[in-house]
Amino acid sequence: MKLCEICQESPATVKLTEIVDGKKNHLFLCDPCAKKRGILLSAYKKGELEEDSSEDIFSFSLEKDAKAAEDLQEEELVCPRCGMSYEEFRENSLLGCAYDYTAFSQLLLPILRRIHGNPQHVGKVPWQCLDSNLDKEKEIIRLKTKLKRAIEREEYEKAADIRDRIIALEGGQDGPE
Amino acid sequence: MDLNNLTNQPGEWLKGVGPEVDIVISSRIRLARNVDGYPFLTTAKEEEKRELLEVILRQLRKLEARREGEPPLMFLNLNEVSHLDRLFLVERHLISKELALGKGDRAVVLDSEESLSIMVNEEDHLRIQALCSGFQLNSLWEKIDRLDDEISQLLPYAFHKDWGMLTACPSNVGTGMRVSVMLHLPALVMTHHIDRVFQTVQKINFTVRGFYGEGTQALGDFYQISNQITLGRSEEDLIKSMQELIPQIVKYERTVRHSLLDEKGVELEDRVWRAYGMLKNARVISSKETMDLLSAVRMGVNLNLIDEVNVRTINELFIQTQPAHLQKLEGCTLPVDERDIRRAAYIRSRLN
Repeated sequence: MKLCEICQESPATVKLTEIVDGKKNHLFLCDPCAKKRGILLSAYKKGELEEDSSEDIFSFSLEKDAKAAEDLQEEELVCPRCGMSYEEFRENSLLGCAYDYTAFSQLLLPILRRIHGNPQHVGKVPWQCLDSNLDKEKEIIRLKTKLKRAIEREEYEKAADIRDRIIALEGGQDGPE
Repeated sequence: MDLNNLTNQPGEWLKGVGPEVDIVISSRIRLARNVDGYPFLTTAKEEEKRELLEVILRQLRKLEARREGEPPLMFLNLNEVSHLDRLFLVERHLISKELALGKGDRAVVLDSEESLSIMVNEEDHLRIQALCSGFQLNSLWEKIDRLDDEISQLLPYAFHKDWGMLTACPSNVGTGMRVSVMLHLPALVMTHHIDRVFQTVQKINFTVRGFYGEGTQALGDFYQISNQITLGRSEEDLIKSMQELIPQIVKYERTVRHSLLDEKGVELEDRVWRAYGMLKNARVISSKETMDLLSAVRMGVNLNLIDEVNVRTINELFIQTQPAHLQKLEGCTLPVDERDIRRAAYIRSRLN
């Protein structure tokens, strides 16, 4: 697994080709470091960035041709955890591990938009992932609706079960209510 | 619990009870889930698959203790199940064709009423499915939602706050939920109104599939309607859209059935009775022809054009004349030609 050439900590997920003084260099970066350097991958991909908006020392071959940029990114993207390349995903439409969603996020986002419209999850959150207060509040609202329905149907055992879960969630919330 | 015991019952989804059951055969909800910390099955190594299966089954066995008063669970390691039995489970809609024909460590957990099936190591680590006869999405959602909560306490799910439940295919990400309703639409097919239904359904992001789901042909005028979108909408919201859509299709089918009765009553009656006559007398019959004829008779029973047979028998015949079922009933594997002869004989024995 190749590490990011800037932070030397996170796995590199993007390979960028930069042209400095007419010389081609390759730079391996992780997503956060790429972002910190002002490299807006999605913007380059869409061809939205102005040529002069990048830092002086960086002159991207990416920005010249949006299509070529896309091809380049796709070709080079490999998930550091499972080793699947974006190219492989394109061939069989199946991802290799959960981390692929992060590793390929820039390229997956337009796909998710095309399939689903709104790419923001608003459904169920698994029990162990209810970490923010907002998530918990959402889940409490969801459970309260369920509780009301259970009471209406006189399913008291189920209602008690749901009530216990609401209490557990409310007890686990941080800060003042 | 033995698979052979299932042969003689029609399966939960063909019971023929529940709301709108003359047209809505069955309702189904499935949730795709992956266990956090393991690669998806596309890249998992053999030993990882084996470990996953072991971990998942060990945790799922804990569910049994909590299911007081509910039907018992059956754990089937598909490597130990014969090819015929696997196809038999596909015909009963309890496992997918992919799982049946797949290789390596994989399993299914079923309940004895066949209203629940958990596929392990299919496209995703877990495919949790609840099914029932008729149109009853609310109770089905409540049931599967609760089960999913229980499983999520035993196995941590791969989850992302923006993208929800992470699935091998991005078309399932988010809720990981597919709600499917199987409809019997002979009148819409007969009058070619079905194309208009398809167009409308697709426009509002629902898909139409055949009798055995994705990529399969419509058989016997059965169609499955399901949601296409899984991300950016809540489970309740998706179910609500389905509850708005399905009754409109049901109403459309009923309207067309009644106008057919008014305008072409004799032709319709003739079609139903001819189909019945063929089923009662045929000596060689394919499974496709059987489905088409049973479909006509089923509509006839629902429109009171025929009273010699009831819907339950028709529903049982739909499933028991499928290739794997027929071979299990006969107690041996049979070549296609022989099956068509035995199928005709079996149908005659049930209808005469």
